[in-house]
Amino acid sequence: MNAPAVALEVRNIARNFGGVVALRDVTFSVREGEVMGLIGPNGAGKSTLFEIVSGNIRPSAGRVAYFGRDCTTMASHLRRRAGMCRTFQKVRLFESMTVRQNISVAASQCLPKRRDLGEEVNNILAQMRLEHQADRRPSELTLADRKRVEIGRAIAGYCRLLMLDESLSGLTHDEAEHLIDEILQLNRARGITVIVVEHVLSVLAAMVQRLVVLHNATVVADGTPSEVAHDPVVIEAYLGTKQKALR
Amino acid sequence: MEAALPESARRGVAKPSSEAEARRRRAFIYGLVAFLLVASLPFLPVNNYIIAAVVRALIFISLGQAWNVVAGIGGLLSLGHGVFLGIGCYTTGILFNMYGVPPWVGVWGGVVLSLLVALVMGSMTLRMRGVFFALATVAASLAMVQISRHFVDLTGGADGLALKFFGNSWWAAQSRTPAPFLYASLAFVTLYYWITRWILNSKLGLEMQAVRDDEVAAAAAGVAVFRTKMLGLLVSAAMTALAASLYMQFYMAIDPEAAFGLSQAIQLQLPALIGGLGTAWGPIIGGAVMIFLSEVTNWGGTKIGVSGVDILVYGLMLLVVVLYAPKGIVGSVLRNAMKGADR
Amino acid sequence: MDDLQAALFLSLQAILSGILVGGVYGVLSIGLSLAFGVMRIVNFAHGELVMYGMYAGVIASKSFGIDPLFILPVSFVVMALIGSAQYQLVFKHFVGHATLQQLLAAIGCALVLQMIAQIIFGADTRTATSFFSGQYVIFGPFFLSMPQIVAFVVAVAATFLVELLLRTTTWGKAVRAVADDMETAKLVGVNASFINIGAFALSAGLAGLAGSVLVTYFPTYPSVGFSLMPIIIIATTIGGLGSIGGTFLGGICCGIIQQVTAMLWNSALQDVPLYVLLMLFIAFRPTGFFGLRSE
Repeated sequence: MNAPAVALEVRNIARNFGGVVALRDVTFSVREGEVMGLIGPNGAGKSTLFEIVSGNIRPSAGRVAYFGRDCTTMASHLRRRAGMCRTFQKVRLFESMTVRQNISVAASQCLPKRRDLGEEVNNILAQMRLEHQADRRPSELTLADRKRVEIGRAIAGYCRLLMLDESLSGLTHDEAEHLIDEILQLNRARGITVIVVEHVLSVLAAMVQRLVVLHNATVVADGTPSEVAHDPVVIEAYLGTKQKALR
Repeated sequence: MEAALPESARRGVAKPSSEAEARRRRAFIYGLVAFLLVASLPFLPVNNYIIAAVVRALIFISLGQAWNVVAGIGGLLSLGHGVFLGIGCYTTGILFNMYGVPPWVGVWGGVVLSLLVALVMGSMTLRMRGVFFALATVAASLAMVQISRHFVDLTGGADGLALKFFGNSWWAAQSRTPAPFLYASLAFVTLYYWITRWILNSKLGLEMQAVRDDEVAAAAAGVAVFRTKMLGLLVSAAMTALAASLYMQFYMAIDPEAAFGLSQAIQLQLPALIGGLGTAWGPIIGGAVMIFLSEVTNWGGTKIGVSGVDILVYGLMLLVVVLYAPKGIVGSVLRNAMKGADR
Repeated sequence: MDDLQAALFLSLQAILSGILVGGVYGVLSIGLSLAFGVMRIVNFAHGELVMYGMYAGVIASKSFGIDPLFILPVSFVVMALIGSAQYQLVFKHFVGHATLQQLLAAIGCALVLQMIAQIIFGADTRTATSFFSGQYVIFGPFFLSMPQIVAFVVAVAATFLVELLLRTTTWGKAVRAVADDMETAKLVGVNASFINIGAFALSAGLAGLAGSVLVTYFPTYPSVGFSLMPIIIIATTIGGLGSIGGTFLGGICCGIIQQVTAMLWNSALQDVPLYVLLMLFIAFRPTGFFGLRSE
């Protein structure tokens, strides 16, 4: 059996905004089929890193490779068509279009034939348990359903890597658990590599196989959840920030 | 700077429930009745003044429909869209007067030229936020006013261009009576209605609406944002240039202000804004309402001896719509209907 | 050699009159700059406020025989009032974001104001005569139009006073605080809505004042507002936002470009380089457009 391919490789990524260093020498890789978490306190650089990987910002230095192919300068819509998919921290759906149309727009970028398109959209609607909402507009849905639509739109057509940006925020405990189950289902059934960005450790612990911790613009830990939870550097980072906040 | 859209742009295709189907059928019947009514006008005892007024209204509506594609569906507020109207008019006019090219052929020159201008303008400004694009189109159209005033030999300068009159002539697409233009403009409005419907349901249409609703999310969904915007602009420019030739043949004359002027350009945008941006019926209903009000106020205005009251009414309508009914007339109707259906 | 000398001479002449004309463009634009800087309002109807100021000058000179310069305070006050009304009725709802809805509302205002002017004053072009009309000053080998010099002086004085107002008075400092960061200013206790209407009134008053002084050498007609808008926008762009002095200098640049074009190429096309410049600015310096503020 071959070793799993490297889905995403981030090498020596750095990013400055004027005088502010947002990211400094960030390096890690994600294997195909892995479920990885990216965490860190607010201001650690998670969002910047996310935007660089998804293609909305250029890094000041470093490279991003997707399944071996350098994509550092690739436009974000091309990354999506290649299977690098993302969601947003604040759910961004196309409000004037139905759920079906939201998913259809994404699917049609990867599937030119009309016949396949209808099938794929129904497929996704079934996978995300949205069949009954298909002809509704996003404004009529609950937050949890809206997040489902966004994920459905993200995986439609072609998806090998799914990046979730604080997707669990705003959900109740039960809703979050359901969503986590569905995401893990996607990982198992479709072999989609998943990167989850969060800033609360507890949420991710049960979900991910591996955690990368960002703090002060760089990677401070990289390992299994239990390894990371006991890493003194990480504890200091979180407790240190907590103490500052309490003062 | 954010560029949030008027609410009227957010109401797109209706829900395909049985309620919506019934509504669709009703709308189709109303449309058919209106179509037949207008088509039968020349056979009814109405004088030519009324027919000409209907023609004016239909031409106005078709230009509004063309603008609706880029602004309503695409979400790009092309303020100076008059650029394409002017290019279409002047090209057909100049080719006809100077080179004897019949308008049936000359119109395509106007379309090609408009597409080129749209391509250049678009590549310079479509990557920017909406407000910038809007202002760039303003600059372009005002520049064209000055340019068309300057090259007197070509364009007739400030006095403009008048087509050589050939009486009733198929070749020259001219007529002494407005009846032929009634059918031509009715055909345009009907054709543009179906084109709008078709676009709304096509892949391009969905992409345009996605870009309109949220550019960043659209890119994240794989949509090539710039290309989509550009295509929308090109289609809209071509439709405007085509309708411009009809405009030219009916009015038989054009001048820099009417062609490229901002006031005129803004008036063309009102049917869609008032009737409902991004809908197929919007410009038609909005245009009809506007022309009706315009005729009424002008009639009243001439009684008192003032002109321009109709544009004043347009301005007020625009303010009312933006402040109190952002979804436009059609949008409000759809929204109320949906409220009832949703329980 | 004579050709070159002639061209040089004409250019310098054009530059001088460009500075004079540009000063007025500058003070025309300061109002727009202020409205955007403080409230993120792109008042597309700003040109109409100028237009009313121009008509005020015409009325003063033609109906009352007074030099428009004497009614400048009146113009200022009247337009400030009209501006406040415009703000209360329309723009209040759009403070904070330069949205397309806001732009459309402004256009609606512009149309209404234009047509009211057309109904009241008629569509003909009108000019005003001032005490200085037709006079010229000889400055070395150059001719300078006296009305333009006077207008320039007024423009500089007005700009100076506004800068003074913004930098030294409490009200002015509050305005600058709101322009910088409305939320923080509110936290510190600034009554933002009061400041906003005041700033808008000032913006409108300046437009009216500038119009009254402009009409001493530039004719007016109901839709003159639209033709002035691109110049105003470019002046604001070049000068950068929040900077009163910068916008003023931007106006001077516009004036110079316009006059040099008119002199060396063709006066009918004098605004075309400005339009091109505007489009280039939009295409290549998106953040430079309307300042570095982005939402």
